[in-house]
Order: sequence, then C-alpha cells, then structure tokens
Amino acid sequence: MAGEDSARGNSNEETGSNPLDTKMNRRKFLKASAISAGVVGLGGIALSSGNATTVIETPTANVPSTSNADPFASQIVTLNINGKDVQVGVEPRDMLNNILRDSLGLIGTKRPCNRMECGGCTVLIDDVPHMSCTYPAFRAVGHKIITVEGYTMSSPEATVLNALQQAWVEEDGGQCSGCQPGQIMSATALLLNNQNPSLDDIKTAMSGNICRCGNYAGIIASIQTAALKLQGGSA
Amino acid sequence: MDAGQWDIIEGGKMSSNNEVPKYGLLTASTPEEAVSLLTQYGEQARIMSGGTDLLYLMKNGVVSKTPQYVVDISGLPLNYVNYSASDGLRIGATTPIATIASDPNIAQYYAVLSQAAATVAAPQIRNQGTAAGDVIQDTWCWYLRNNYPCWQNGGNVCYGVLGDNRYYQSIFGGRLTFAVNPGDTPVAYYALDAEVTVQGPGGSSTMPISQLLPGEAIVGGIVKENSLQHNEMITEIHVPPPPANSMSAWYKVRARQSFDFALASAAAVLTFNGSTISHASLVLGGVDVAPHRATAAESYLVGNTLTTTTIQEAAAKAVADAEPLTTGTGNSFRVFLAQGAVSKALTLLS
Repeated sequence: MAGEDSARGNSNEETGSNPLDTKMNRRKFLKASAISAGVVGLGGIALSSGNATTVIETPTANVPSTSNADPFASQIVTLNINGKDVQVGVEPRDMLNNILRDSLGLIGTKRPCNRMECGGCTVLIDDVPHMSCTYPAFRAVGHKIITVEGYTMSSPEATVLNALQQAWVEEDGGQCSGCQPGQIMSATALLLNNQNPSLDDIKTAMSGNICRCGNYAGIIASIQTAALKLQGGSA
Repeated sequence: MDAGQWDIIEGGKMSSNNEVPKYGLLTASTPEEAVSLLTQYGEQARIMSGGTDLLYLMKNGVVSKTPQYVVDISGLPLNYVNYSASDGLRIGATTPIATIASDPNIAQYYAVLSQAAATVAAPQIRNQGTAAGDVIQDTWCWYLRNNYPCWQNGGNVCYGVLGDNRYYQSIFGGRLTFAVNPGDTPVAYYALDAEVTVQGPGGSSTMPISQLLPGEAIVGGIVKENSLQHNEMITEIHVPPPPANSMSAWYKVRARQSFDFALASAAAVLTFNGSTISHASLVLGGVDVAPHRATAAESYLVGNTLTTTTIQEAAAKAVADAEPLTTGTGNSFRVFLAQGAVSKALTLLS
C-alpha cells in the first residue's frame, strides 16, 4: 500500500537500517553509480575511470542524448535544482521524484501515492507546479526546478516560500503534514502569480493537493496569511 | 471469478510501490520521425506526450498498455494555440491542457472548450497533460487500471458488466467493452465539430473527431476506444470558426468538486436566430464509450426558445434512449445525473 510504503521510506531516512528496503538499496546504488564508471551512454563516451571530478567536467552533460542509439542507457545530466546545477545519473524510467529523493537526498519532496492522485510530490518546474512522481527526470533537463527546500535561495520563489512556511506555522497549516511540502509548493506557484488571491483562486490552485487529515481550512488560512505577509513586505 | 483469473492479476507486473518499469527511451524531433520510430519498433513502442496517462498505466503494470519503448514527442514543435476568425482554432497535439483552459481566444469564442479544459483533473495534471492526450487517453475503468484481463487488456470479458459499474461504465450500452471515454475536452470537441490531423506512415490526414473516437475500434486484433493505428499520432486539433450568434456552455458532475472524472457531463453549443434556436449541438460525456451526441434533444431544441419547460424536455429527451446496466452494482443513477447535466448546461445559456 502507498501509505505503508511512504512510512517505510521515511523511517529509513532516519535509521537507514532496514536491509529489506529495496528502495534504500536503489538509492544507495544510484548515489554510488552517479560517481562511478557504472554509468554508461554518456553521449557515447565510456568513462574508463570513475571519480566525481571526471563526471562533473564532462561537457556533454547538459543535454540528453537524442541519438536513440541505446534507448535503455543511463545518462549523466545536469539538473538545476533550487538555483544550483547538479550532475546526476538518470535512466529513462526515473521520475524526477526518484532522483530528488533517492539520488540527491532531497527528501523534503514526498512520494505519498506515487501515481498523480494526491499532489504530495509537487515541485515547481519553471515556476509551474508539477507532480514529480510522474514527471520523467530526463524532461527536467534545462528547466528550473524548485523544491520545498528552496527557501534558502535568494529569489522571488524563496521569498514566497519563506512567507508560506512561516504562515504554515502560525496558522497550523499542517496536521500530520504528509501533504505539507506539496501543498506549500502549489501555494508558492499561486502566490508567485497572484499576490492577492480570492478564496476561489486559492481553492482552484490547491485542488490538486489532497490532505488526508482534511485540514483544508488551516491550509487556506495559511495561504491567506502568507499573502498578507507578502503584501506587507514583512516576509 | 475463479482462482485462475486471480492468478493472472496477482502474477502480473503490478508493482506494489508504483515505480515505472524499465523502458527504452526514443526521442523524436518531427512527427515523421516519431511515426518512423513507431513503425520500426512496432507494437512494443508507444507515444508519450505529457505522460500522465501512459506512465500511470505503466506504474499500475497494465500489461497490454505497458510498452518496452516509449517515443517521447515532448520536443516536437506542437505546443501552440492559433486562432483566426476565418480559419478557427488550431491546437497543437502537445499543448498543455492548462494552456487551453487559460487561452483568451478560446475563452471568448469556444467557452465550452475553455470550461471543459478547466475542469480536467488538477492544476498539476493540466500543466503536464496535453491536448491530444486528453482525447485518446485510456478509460479509467478500475478493472483495466488494475490489470484485469478484460477486452482492452488481452482478455475477452468486460468485468464492469457483472461487477462494479457505478462510475466508469456506459449507460448507453456497449458491444464488447462498456467502459466510458473519460475525457472532458473531447466532449467539447465533439460538440464543436472538431477535426483531428493524424500523422501516419503514409503521410498526414484529417478526420472528424467522431471517426477518431468511434466508441469501439478493433485495431490489430485489440479492442480500443480510438481508431489510431499503433504507428499513427495526432498532430493537431482543428475547430471550425464559431457560427455567428452562437453560444456554448459546459457542465460536469463529479463525486468531488475538483480533481475527478465526470460521472456525467454536458457540452452545449446553440446558434440563435433572435431568441429561437436555429442549430443545436448537444453532447454528453462520461456516460458512453465515446462522447454521446443527444440527437433527439438536438432536433427538439431547433425551432424552440430556451425556457424552463423546453430545457427540462430537452434534458429528458437526451437520456430517453439510455440503457443503464442493471447487472452488477447497476448504474442507473447516472441517467439522472446526465439529465441534470444537460439541464444545467442549457440553463447557463438561457
């Protein structure tokens, strides 16, 4: 079940001790392969020795291969995440969420249902909200990805994120908070475009984020408070 | 259901954690190249535009819908909306649904399409899902999505007929498969008499959307709800200019107020001569294996004005030929929802 899966994944991030967790193994594997010679298909270049420097200096890294020569190959690509360029190994089946959480350890972005039904994995791609669980990672190359960890940037997105996160605390926007990072990202997209949203604007913008606790009133109050903070410039 | 059939389901590729199975990625930069890749890799390859439907099917391990190769067409220059008074509306295949919902020309001249697009799924999915993808997405019948071996998944039964048919089975009958076409924008396209440009190995051709979505098509021995061959792709949707003095409206009934499929929907396009209706186009969605044109209600409306009485009469005529399933759970309640949707859509125009 999705719930068990999510809970298991979370507990492992803290303990890292469950040998039965295949995702943990996959994460370790991807982390290892991103800095080893195990990653092939790099624009046709096979690396003979694997270390982090070799990979980062590879000039073919910023566009995915379009040669169709080896459709199953992994590639090293550059993703722009929260204002930083990151090199990471991506295979075709990898969704952006897998890369964020399992390869890069950016576990702020959740993976509750993993099939586009809850919105808990929402991230911004070029400031537009997307569900990262079902967004192919290779497609994110060349786009600006912002996750809930992006509050440390100095950018308009970070200003909104900071206001929202503060408002979330003040207004009790979270109960169990499993959906919270996704909610905050959808709200960020809304407030970036509309600093004075009506109740209907908020409901429409947030309609792709489901809160199992049903704390919608708290979420709406948080967004309204954040909007006031941004208008007052006190964020 | 006997134990053997359960074995097929349990033994399928359904993944407990919804990860996408391994696939080979092929990228195309022109429609011709995409079609040539589809031809080269045969039935093992499928087009991916937004991916919201295809990746979901792959995550759920639906055997007949899970390709070994994916032809990614997101790089094709098909993300556009062009409107002109003489030519009408042209929407590129990979245009996000969100663009259709927010385009000012579509809102002004094709309100029914704008409103239908705005009710598709959720904001994140509208940002990723595309115009052509919404037209040919697979049914959301739970039996198919859970990899039951039904007509559309390599088997020879429609589980919905004898099973839970409340939400995703037709109330207007069916032949082999009874699962409804789930789209919202195709209902609007039907009502607007749109046509679809399809690229195939032999070149590009244009067909009415009713020919693309015939309700049930057997393509290469496989039961499908659209008539595309495996190596064909949609490149453009064309909607003719709106007739003078015409108005259109959309109404969608859902179990939730947002982020849900239609239990019933109605798209109405009416042309007026004064206050008298001179032409009527009325299409129901979410209730039949294809968008369902309510021809009896259309002919009734022509020559009438919109009053409470004529609206109720038209709504009754729209569902007069319904044949809801009485086996399994039964779905006759959706006849009343469809009738209500027609009534609501027409009321919006009165």
